[in-house]
Amino acid sequence: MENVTAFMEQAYVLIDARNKTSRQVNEEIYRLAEQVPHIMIINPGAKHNLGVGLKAKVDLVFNGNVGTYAAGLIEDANVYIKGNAGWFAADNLMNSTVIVEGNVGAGAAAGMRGGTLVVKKNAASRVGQVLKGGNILIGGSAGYMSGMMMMGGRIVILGDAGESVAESIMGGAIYVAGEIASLGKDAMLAEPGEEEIREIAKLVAEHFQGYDLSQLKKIVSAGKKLRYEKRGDVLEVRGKAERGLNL
Amino acid sequence: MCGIAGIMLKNKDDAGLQIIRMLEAIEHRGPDSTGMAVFDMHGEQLRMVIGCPDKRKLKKVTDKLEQEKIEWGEIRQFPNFCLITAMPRQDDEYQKVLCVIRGLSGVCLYSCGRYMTIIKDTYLPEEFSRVFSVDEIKGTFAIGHVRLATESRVNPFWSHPFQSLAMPDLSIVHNGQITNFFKKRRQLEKRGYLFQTDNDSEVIAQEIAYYILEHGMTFEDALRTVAEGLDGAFSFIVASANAIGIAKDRLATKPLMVAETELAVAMASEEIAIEVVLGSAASARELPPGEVYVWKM
Repeated sequence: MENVTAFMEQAYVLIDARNKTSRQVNEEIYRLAEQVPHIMIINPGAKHNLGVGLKAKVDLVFNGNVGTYAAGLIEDANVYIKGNAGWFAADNLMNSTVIVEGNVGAGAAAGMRGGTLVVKKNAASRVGQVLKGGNILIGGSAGYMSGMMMMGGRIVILGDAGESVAESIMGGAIYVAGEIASLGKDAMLAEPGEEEIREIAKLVAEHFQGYDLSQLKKIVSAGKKLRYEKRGDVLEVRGKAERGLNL
Repeated sequence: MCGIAGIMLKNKDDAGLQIIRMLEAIEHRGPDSTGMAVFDMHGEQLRMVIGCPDKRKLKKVTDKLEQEKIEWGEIRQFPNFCLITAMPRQDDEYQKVLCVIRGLSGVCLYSCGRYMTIIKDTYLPEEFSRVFSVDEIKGTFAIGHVRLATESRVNPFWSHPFQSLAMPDLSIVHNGQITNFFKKRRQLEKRGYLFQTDNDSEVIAQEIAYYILEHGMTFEDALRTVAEGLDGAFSFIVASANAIGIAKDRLATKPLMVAETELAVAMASEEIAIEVVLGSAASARELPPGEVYVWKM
């Protein structure tokens, strides 16, 4: 699913989550995902672990708020959350698209490997921690230690970035359109290239309108501590860790 | 893990019912105990509720209260303890009740205030609600807690909310661990503050009372000062006779969400607890690290 419009153009099979446990809801999702391409869960009630571990070519819509680990560990399934998501939304996302209409709690897209997380409003602390690949787009602000220890991928923050952004970053890049409260350890500002800005602008335009990217700031690893480098086909961790461990 | 919740109603007085609904929604965060403090703005008489787990000590408690000529009210019997309400009329009677409590092993001050009622025990929220008829407790605001014990024993009196013996109508609920708790407790004990348990959370209530009583700080300033001096992971909610405050640690390690509608202000460890009282349209926000905020009645 490219964006919200694409989600809303479909006809959905409904699951009513009211008075059901998360396990019961998920069992229904897994069963239906083998049979139909579009599923909508109504009354999710901010329950936890909804949609976790789903590996199926299906579009899921949660018509309300979801709790922790929503859409975590999913592969091939696209998800649209029409509300807020709690901590660790889209945790370890593999390759699909997750769109959150509201805010996300801490640790969203932790360990993500591919695909796209779009947050229309704000992200709490540590969004994209240990990010490995893929794209995270945040329409509002991102909190403390965004991109903590990320190893690859891109985070684009259209609002402001909180304290210690890109804390101990090892690879990948963070782009910030607003203000940066402070940089994390081993993070540095770099100049984004024109082609890079065009690519980011195209990605942003799929989900957001009217954002000015002319003052986009790019944050990357300064490379003085741990960093990822490619040697042939292999990614290696190079550098010296805090306590003097030579790699 | 522990779960905390708070609610400040704008138009109704069923805070007991609302807070237990919130705690039921987050009971997965703490199976060891449930507790709440409910505040009613119409309080009159100061009530010191004495907790007595051993029913054989009841007579000793009532005899000592009568010796000191302190009025006492109903005795309420529950499966795990009895509660006796003493009603001191003056400051010296307040101190006498504290002396009665300290003089009897295993007896504690369970709840103390004009406006505040604390109830806590080692039940899950649903059973807790039945045992204590919580939905009948009236009040305009309340805080609550479900406990996963990490630092100290599982016991009704070690459950949250905690209060300070030095200051009625003040209580806290806490999620996290205070790593400089021992140092702070020693400092407060040297100043004469009496601790009833070895739970780290109790120090938060005692320190807030200390800054209000001895430094003349406002509730908000005391809360801010205490939060800045704590080490460890924490989110906590504190309530006084006419306010609720929240504080979150600088690393944002423990969750705390807040939402406000025309019905109420609600705060909780998870949005699921806010949604049961305010509905799905109330969009909760996660508080940023180091945040301190107060709502006044």
